[in-house]
Order: sequence, then C-alpha cells, then structure tokens
Amino acid sequence: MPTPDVDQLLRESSPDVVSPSGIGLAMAATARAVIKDNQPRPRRIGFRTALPVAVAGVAVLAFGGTTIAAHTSMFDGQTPSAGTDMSPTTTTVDELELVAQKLAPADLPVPDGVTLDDAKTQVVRVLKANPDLQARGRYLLDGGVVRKHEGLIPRNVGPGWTLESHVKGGSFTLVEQSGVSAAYVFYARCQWERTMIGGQVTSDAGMAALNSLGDVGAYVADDQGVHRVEHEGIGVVPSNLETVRTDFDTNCLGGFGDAPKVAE
Amino acid sequence: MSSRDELAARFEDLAASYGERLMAYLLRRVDFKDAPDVAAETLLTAWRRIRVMPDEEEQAFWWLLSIARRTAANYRRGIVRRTKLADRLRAMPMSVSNPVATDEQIVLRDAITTLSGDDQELVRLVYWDGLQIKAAATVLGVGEATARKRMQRARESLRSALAEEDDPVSVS
Repeated sequence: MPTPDVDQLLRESSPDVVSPSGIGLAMAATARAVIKDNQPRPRRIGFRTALPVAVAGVAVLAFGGTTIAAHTSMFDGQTPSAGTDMSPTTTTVDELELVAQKLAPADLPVPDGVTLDDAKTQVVRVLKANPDLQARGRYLLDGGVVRKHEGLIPRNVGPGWTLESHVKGGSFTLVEQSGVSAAYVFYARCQWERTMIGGQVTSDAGMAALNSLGDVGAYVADDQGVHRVEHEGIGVVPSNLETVRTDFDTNCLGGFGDAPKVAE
Repeated sequence: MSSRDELAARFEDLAASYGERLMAYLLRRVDFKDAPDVAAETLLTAWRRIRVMPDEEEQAFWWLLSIARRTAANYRRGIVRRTKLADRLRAMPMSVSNPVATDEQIVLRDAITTLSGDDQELVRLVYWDGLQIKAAATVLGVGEATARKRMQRARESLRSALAEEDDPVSVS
C-alpha cells in the first residue's frame, strides 16, 4: 500500500472557509471604528531594558516625573471626605511599603513554590533599597487607604469629589506603566525564568507563562478611562532557553531572580 | 516617527487588504459565531500596539496574525466578550465547514492532537493558512531554524501515525 501523502492530507484537513468579497471593507470599517475611539499606546520597551525601567518607575513613585495611572480598584475607590487633611505628606519607608502592598496584583501568575507574599517582599526590598524613595511620594495615605497624589489637593473637598473625577479633570495622556506594577510583573518574569532554567517547569510551560504575564506597562489610560491591559502578552519574550538564561543573568541575578526564602 | 494619521491610514489599508485572510484564520480556530468578536478584539489590540507594526505590509500581516493568535487563545480562556465593534463583521454572510472525515483524516486529526500546542499551530499556519515557514515562525515568535526543525519533527510524527494505521502490527 502506498505511503499516504502527508502534505496533501494536511492541506485537505483545513476547514473550508467561505467569506464574501466585502469582508475586507467590513474589516476596514471596523478598523476605522477602532481608530476613532481608541488611542495607540506608546512604543513598548523591550525585555532587556525592562528591569531598569521598572526600577526607574519605582523612583517615579517618589518624584512624580511621570504620571502614574490612577485606578479606582487599585486605590480602593474611596472618596475623600470633606475636611480630610489631604495636603502632601512625607512618604516614609513604612508608607511606601504599604503602597507596594496595596498595589500588589492579586492575579499575578507565579510558578509553584513562589507566592504573592514573596513578590511583595521583593518589591518592597527594591523600594527600600532606593534612598530616593524616602522623599515625598505621589501617594497619600488616608485612613490606611492609598491614594494617588497629584499636586496639592484642597483641604476642604466638596461632596461628590472622587478620585476618578479628579483624574478626568486632568489629562488623558496615555500612560505606559506604573512603576510598582511593573516591578511585580518583572518579579514574576524572573521567577518563571529561574524555574525554567532550574528545570522545575518545562520550557513550554515557562514560555506560556511569560506570554501570559501582563505587560510591564500593564495599566493604560485612554479616552475610555484607566484600565488594565489583560492578557495581551508581553510582546517581547525570550524565544528559547538560551535567551532566557541571558536575560536572567542580565536582569534577574541577585535581585528579582532570587529563590524565595523558605520560612523556618 | 509616523503621525497618528499616517498610522491610521496604514492600519486601515492592512485591515482592508488582509481582512479576508485574518477572518479565515479565525474561522478555522474559534467558534463560528464568535469569530467576528475575536477579529474586532484583534484589531483593537493591534491598533493599540500600532507603533510596533512592521513597515513592510506582508510582515505587518504576520504581526497581525500573531496578535490574532493570542486573542484566539484569550477567547479559549473565555476572556473575549461580545462587542458592538464586531457588528459589521457579524452581518457578513460567512460559512465554515470541516473536511470529509475519511479514515486517513481521522487518523491525521488524532495524530495532530498529540503534537505540542505550538507544533499544532505551526502545522496549521503552513497547511491551512498557506504561510511559508519564515512567516509561520514570525507568527509563533520563534526563529526560522527552530520552526523548520519543529515542522520536520511534526511531519515525521504524523507520517508515522499514518503509516502505522496503514500497516498495523498484529499481536498474537
């Protein structure tokens, strides 16, 4: 019996698709609707430069050189009450720690053996390691609630004032990243790389995890508000284990790539 | 750097020129009724990331397919939702039908499911969507040499499965 022609069989296995000639026009019209209502994001940073930017982003937390996206769910979405003292305060290390805790993404995918608490510990360590972070911050603490601070907020806030309305009153510049969020994402990436290199997870599983991580710029603001870009993938991921090693050595050694310490 | 208007014009041209192939790609992979939503979501994501779209048109299409691939994966995770953006696409009369299930096709289909997810997609990109290996490698985000090796391995595996079916070893 002749050997089956696998190439021909594979071609014949394709589902038969019939679409009208006007589908291109419909796609173009859909593209126009997308263009009309949405803004492109700024060019994305590459993987090799992501860690320095992530750390720089943490510094931004202190100095406010770049707008950091305000997200009501990130900040508990509470409205400042009238008469609350909302003038700028000095952000202490403890307060920064609280900020980092508050901004920890609950859905951060991490490999087995790594917990969100490990991520928090590492991100706080990075915050503490940078003395600049002890300067005035962009976040205010109000009754234990972390709020974004944009300039001087009036002491007497009228009824109906919300963080969201405050943001809407400002600019809608596209925001690429929040430094703290980026640090969390980067920690997860380093941990996946560590476990891939150590053979604790398969290469396929590790690559899939890297792909599924939110972008370093996981929060964007556009004319529809501030929101997280869900599961878009990180755009630039190492393509094989060798590049994983290189990236890990370059960006993760002696920091985010450390194995979590086992509690004694 | 291109202005927003220039990017918008290029994006619209890309959608018009390759929209049919994009929709065919999706119809072969996601549920028929959901393909318009996945297509609209793909365009939305692509527009947000337009600043990294390759300049060359064919390569821009591969880039668009790579986004479609991830969007389709999100769809399978239940993340893509019904959107008004897809209304125009939903109104288009489209159909998709599976090939006649011959014995060989059934064996082949079963054998394909034994490949890794990426290898399955590589095979489909080449044999269903008519992409060259280099293009398929770009869509998958791997090197061309890696894709060639994977394809060779996949074809050998599929050929073996078909040969075994044709020439079963009897066990007494």
